[in-house]
Amino acid sequence: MGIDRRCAQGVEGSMKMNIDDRLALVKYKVDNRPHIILKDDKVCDTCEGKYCVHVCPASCYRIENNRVIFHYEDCVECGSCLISCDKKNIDWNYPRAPYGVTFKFG
Amino acid sequence: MNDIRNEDGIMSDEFDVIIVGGGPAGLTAAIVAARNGLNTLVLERGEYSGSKNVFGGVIYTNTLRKLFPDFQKDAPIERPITRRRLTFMDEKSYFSVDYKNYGFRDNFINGFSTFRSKFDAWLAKKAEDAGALIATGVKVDSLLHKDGKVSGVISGNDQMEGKMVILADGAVSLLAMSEGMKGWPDPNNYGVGIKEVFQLTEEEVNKRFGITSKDGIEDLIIGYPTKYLRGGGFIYTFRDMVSVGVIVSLEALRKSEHYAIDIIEDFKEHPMVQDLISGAQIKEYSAHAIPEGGLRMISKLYRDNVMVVGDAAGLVNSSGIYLNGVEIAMKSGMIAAEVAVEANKKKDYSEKTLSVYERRMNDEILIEFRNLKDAPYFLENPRMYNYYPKFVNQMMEKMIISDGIPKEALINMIKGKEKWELIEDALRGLKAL
Repeated sequence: MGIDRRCAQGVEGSMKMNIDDRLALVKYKVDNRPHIILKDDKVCDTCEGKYCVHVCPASCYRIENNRVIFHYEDCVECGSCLISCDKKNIDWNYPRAPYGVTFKFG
Repeated sequence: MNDIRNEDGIMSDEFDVIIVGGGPAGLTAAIVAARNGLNTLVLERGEYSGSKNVFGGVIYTNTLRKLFPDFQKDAPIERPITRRRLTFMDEKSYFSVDYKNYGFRDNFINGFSTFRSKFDAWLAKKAEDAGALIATGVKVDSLLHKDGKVSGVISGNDQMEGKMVILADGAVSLLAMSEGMKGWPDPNNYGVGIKEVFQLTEEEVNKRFGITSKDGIEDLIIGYPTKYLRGGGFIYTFRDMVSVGVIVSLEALRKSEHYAIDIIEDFKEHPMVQDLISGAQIKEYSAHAIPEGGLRMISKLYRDNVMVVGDAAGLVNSSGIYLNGVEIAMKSGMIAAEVAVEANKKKDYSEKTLSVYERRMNDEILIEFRNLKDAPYFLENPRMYNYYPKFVNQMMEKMIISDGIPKEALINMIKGKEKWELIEDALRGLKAL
């Protein structure tokens, strides 16, 4: 196999990738019902830290119009949000089998 | 799992031991239990063992060797780790302590690199060969109780009965939490590990790292990789691949202005990392929470009919110089299974019998955690990450650079207050590590 001297994204000198492109490398079997639920939106609205947004490695928590928007589809089941939420406002579970993430090089 | 339950969806047999989680801890327990004739069931929620798991890259071999003296024959070994580096990095330079042992090439004393998808799957096959029943794609929702004691597991509409249950369900053990054996997780005791794997060729890995095909490198890097937050970066070599990753304390990260998704990308931009992975094709992005609180976060290890092993119990030694989860997980699985075998002989699965697990853990594993009990506190010192990596590199630059400024004695290059802080931290570090 030859080595492509350009970087993976074709921009010379940078290997940076945005999160959506990185998540596109991950294999998922997405359940039609979420395995994680934010218990009370009001708690998130008034939360100052919004730590979930900082710690989630799959960017499942994003801020839109000052509100935390959560989507479960890209979740890698790591648990960082559950551990970091002081408000205990995350009803966290693993996806039902056989759904969720499958790593090949974990 | 139709093959192991009857038409009513109820397991026809009661198992001697049901193990929740088919990772290194659970599978090691299964191998030891099955070899000793226990009717053993392993329930793994992933498509296959290793499919939900992430680690940096190295399996240390002490327990593996006890299980399989000739593991080298068919274990999925990528490279023996013959070189260990501890690196202090700032944005334009790095300073490494670089240790190489040519003896590690053949005996794997320092372990080997691999991927969990391969290693755990291999271990699962070994557990099956030993006689354990392994059901994949089964998520345990809760434990079954009878007369106030654990009597099995519940998965969806299925119930499975077992004389003993071993919880090996990983870093976020919802089951140990719901059984009251583990408290609510404290972000001060966990890091988030994020990893990217890159494809090169074997020759290119050798060339870029300055090694031969008989060698492999583990590099733990402090400072720049984590934006000078508590944690570190890592780089591991595989046969024709490289992993680059970061582990950041969740407590430090959540209170910072940084985002997990950006930290690893900026680490990849460092010239040292660039030289190692430029042009390489990225194969996968992965992440997982890592227990790193040491002794202060170990769960309750046993109770009537139940034992907790591996990450589920918080059994990771992450004291900076040491970074060991899988090996300790396997050792805990081995000890738990040996205790289960004895309990089965006595037909006594009570707390009293299973307390031997905690006693042996204390003597054989937790002694190491106790020796390093100050390490988590020492490693909480922000100066370790936001000051010393830069400091070491600045000192090196001052010593080496030819800028016409007369050189000074090393000790005079450090200013008054910093000198005492340095001496204090050095002494604390020597004591803690």
